[in-house]
Amino acid sequence: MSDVAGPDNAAKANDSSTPQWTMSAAIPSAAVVALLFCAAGLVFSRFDIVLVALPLIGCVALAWERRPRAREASSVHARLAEHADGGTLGYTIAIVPPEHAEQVQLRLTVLGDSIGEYLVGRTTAGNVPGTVPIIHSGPQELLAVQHRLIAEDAAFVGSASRLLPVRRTVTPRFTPIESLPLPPVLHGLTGTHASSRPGDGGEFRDIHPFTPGDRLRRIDWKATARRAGSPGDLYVRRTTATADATVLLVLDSRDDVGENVASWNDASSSLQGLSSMDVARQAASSLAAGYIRAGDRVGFQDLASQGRMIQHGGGIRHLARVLRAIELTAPSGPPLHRVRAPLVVPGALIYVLSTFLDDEAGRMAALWRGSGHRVIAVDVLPSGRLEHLPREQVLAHRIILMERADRIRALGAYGIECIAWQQNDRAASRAARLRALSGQQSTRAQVRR
Amino acid sequence: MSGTVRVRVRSAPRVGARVPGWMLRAFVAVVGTALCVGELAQGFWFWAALVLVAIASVFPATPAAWVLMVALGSSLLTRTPSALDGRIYALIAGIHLLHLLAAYARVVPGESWVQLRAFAAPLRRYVLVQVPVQLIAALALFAFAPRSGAQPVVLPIIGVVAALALVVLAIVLVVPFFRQKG
Repeated sequence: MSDVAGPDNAAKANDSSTPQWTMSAAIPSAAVVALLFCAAGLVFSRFDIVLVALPLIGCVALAWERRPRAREASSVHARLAEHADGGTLGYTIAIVPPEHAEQVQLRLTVLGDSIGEYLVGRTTAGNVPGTVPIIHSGPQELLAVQHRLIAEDAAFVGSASRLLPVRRTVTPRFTPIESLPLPPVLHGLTGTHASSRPGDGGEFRDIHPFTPGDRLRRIDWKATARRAGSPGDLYVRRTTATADATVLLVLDSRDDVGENVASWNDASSSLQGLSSMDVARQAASSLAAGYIRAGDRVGFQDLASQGRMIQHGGGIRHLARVLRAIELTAPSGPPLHRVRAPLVVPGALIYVLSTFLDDEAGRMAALWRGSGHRVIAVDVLPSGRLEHLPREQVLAHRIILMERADRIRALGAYGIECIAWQQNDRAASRAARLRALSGQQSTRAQVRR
Repeated sequence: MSGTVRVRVRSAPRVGARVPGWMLRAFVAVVGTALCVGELAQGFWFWAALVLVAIASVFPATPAAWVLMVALGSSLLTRTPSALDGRIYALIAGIHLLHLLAAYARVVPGESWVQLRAFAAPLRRYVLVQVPVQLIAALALFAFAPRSGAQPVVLPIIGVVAALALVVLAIVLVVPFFRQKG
């Protein structure tokens, strides 16, 4: 569902540390056993028992002679590939252990979930390749590496290194929307949409008596011949002016819940499945790309933060700016409770993308609607999967969804239109709903004229 | 297959041939049991040794494997040494192998994965230690093992020297560990 951005998005991390070596209890144990065998051989005059002690004495002597030095450092380099391949991203881990380390114990965490420990030889540790599945979009810790060194038949064990996280921002995959609902009032003197006022560039508006200021080439001679009551009466064909729409995308990043309902209390992103923020980023990117490519002006605001805001604007560079802001949006810090709705350009169309699991996003949408804006609520909660849920949690989930349905129904009562932005298998119904919303706007705009 | 398992499988590093970490514990059990069967007669000590094998396999952090080595080595006292008895050579190799496996089982979790090539260096060192030890054992057994009808060899001076050597060996082997811990 996601794709990875270009070379500027390449992620790598390096770390270097000096391990603290600890002697395993195996060596003193072997030494004690060897001494017991030797003592038994001496006491009982049995040299054959001493022979059994010989390999243990050899092991202890070799381990002690070749014990690792405390000042030798080890370094680790982790790097993610620049481009995704079939929904996965390659990684390479390179560990340069000190001279005496024979094995490296790797602990890998992928998408916040530990995938296990691996004991590898020192040669292999220099180049450990693998792949990470790309499940989510946005900023995320794709890989984290921790290691410790083992030397001399596990006689010496190094301290665990610091956890080395490798983060990367994954760009959501999106398709620009074609059926674009419009705000009730269009601004600007140019654009791709026909406005209600007369001007140049738009479609036919009406036939109107010639007034000073009208261009001569606009005189409609057929209409003049048909309508003129007296000599000198002239009629002109008037067209509508063109204008652009101002759209504000408001993304509610206060929560991020996955389709797997059992993971709603779990931070591990690999358990979530498709998450609400994945859907929200995809929806916001699709809308932003659709409007800006149609020549409209788009602004962006994160409902959870006053700092994450982009003023409305148009053009390809502005689109890149908005898309970057969308892909960087993620839940962070305590949720912000706003007393007043953020100020919005008059007449703008506002999209509120939220899960609507609480009242905050709906309250903001109602305030904007109350001040005369056209507001479209985009429901980004993925369809829940209830596997492995106990009965009481299934019941709790049902109650939460019923409250949410009431909330969305109340939004409709305020005059806020709603659209569910679900997975790709429901893309057809989503497109139909957007077409319907576009049609509603056209009808409404005609009525206003 | 759940999502977590899918992620684990798809994200596993490519390190070549590998075995699960619990295989080390299983090898401890196999080697320990084989030595018990080969060295100990059926009886109380046999079953006690098997209990030690089980403890060493399930709880590798305990010193059960080394206690088992003492029990196995003590079995030599019950029989006359012979250069033609293959069991003593097997015991020398087995106790060494048991020590290595138990040492690795202490640090490798059962649910982890172990690359087979990671054991190339320990295996090489095992062979380097075992070859001379087995040669010395064969020579010593041929030289000093009592033959039928012959008088036992009594070497009082060598006994005193050996006792002194044992004291020196104890100092060399044990004192550095205490010094490091202190």
